[in-house]
Amino acid sequence: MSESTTLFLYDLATYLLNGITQGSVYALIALGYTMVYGIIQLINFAHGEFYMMGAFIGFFALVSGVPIWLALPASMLGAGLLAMVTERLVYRPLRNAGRIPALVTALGMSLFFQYAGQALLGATPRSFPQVIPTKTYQWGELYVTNIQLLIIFCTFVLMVFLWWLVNKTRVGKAMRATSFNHHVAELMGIDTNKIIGLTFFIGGAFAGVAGILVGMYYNTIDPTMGMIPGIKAFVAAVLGGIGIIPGAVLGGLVLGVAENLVVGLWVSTYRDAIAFAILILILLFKPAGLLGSPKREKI
Amino acid sequence: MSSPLLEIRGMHIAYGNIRAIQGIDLHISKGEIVTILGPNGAGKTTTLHGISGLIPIAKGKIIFEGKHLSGLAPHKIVAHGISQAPEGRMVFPELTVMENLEMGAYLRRDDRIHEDRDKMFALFPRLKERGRQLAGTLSGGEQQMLAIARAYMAAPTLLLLDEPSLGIAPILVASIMEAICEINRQGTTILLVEQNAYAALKIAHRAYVLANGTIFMEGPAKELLENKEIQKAYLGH
Repeated sequence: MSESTTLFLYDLATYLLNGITQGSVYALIALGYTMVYGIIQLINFAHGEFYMMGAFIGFFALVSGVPIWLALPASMLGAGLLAMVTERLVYRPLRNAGRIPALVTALGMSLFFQYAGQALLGATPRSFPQVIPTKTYQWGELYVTNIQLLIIFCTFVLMVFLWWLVNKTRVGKAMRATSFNHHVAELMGIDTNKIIGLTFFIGGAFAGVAGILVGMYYNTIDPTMGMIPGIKAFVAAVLGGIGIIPGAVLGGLVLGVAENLVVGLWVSTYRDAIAFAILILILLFKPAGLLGSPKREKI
Repeated sequence: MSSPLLEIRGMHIAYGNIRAIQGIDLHISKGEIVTILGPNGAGKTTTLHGISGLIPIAKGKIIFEGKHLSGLAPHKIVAHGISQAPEGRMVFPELTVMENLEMGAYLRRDDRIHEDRDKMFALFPRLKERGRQLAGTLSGGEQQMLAIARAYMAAPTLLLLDEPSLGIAPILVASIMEAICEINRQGTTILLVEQNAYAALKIAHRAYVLANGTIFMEGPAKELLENKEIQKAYLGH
């Protein structure tokens, strides 16, 4: 193998690794989008804001001296509870108002959280405390940081947990039953409002942990940080097939890798363009998503 | 006569401006099979939805074992001992047969769940063979069996069955009706909504005939089977 080929392969591996890291973050956020859609057919455009809230909860926990192993669950819990409260106070009263009013409300909530965040926390980006000193590992010309590994590891653990929850537990089966039909689930004795609240909690918690992890990865956070990743995660969820849990993971990873390949091998300013190009292509040619077929379950 | 298990007094239900149920009175005693007959759109399913709490009742009372049920959420009504196999079967297609039965027993914590499941497997052996299959892959008749078994898994005092013969091969209708009889013999009271009046009257003790949201006739099933008007309208004589 010539030297330039070897270097190209190292580059490629680096882009793939960066893509998987980025894609893991998209996947964590996309899961909330897809679960909420699966259970109440709402595109919760405010979902990216729970990622921002998770980052800030983590930030305040860490600067006040809370250790990282406690700050991670704290941001999950906080963002999850905020998502649950949003459902209870905003989306539940609109549950039977139709899809368009709910969608417009979700857009409104997204802006509300961004501007309320700026009003309360200030618009200036804050630098995230470096609680874990970045270490870089090297194999040949391939570099990987401990933060990247942490992101991939956390994502993997949470995916396995979610798979177990949805497929193996009573409450997970109740979630699947509710996503099929609320009335029929109620006829089983399932309190569907509780199940919907729980779905928002899990979605918010996953976005929250993505927020704190990204804070550590990029070292900077601000109240509007949720917007672009939120939209990207929405693209990921649609790409995988909205409502389908494994689809959100696949969509997130494909999107993250595609972005990083374009950035690395082509033009770096096309990063955002590629995401929306993918969205347009998938809507044109396979609107049900990569894993979607009209009969798939929706959660 | 002891007080009935379920008593409905002056129930009205409206969908917007459409008055679907206009003041019906109905009672069911413990151990009975009662059937509600009537043409499409008469309000049969709406009546069951009212009992299960899926639609709010505008006026009237629903009293079950001496307790008022109107206004409760559907899952609370299941907890009171009324479960339903809804129209169109509505089994959870992406859950296995076993998981569907598990969902039926969602609120139960007792140790007789397995026993009840085995009872249903004895009644519907096909469900046992297909336990690990997704419910969406079952035939219509098998899905209906599953819907009934799933509702039974709640260990209800009163079992509501909405059109169990709808869209089922004629040869299966008789065996499903026989299964309903067997469930009743083992002690579950049944309210059966049917368009197939003949099949329903053959197994029921009493019947109500609904038309345009009111009760148009009621009486013992045997009498209705012999009633000329009923024979003409519903039995095709």
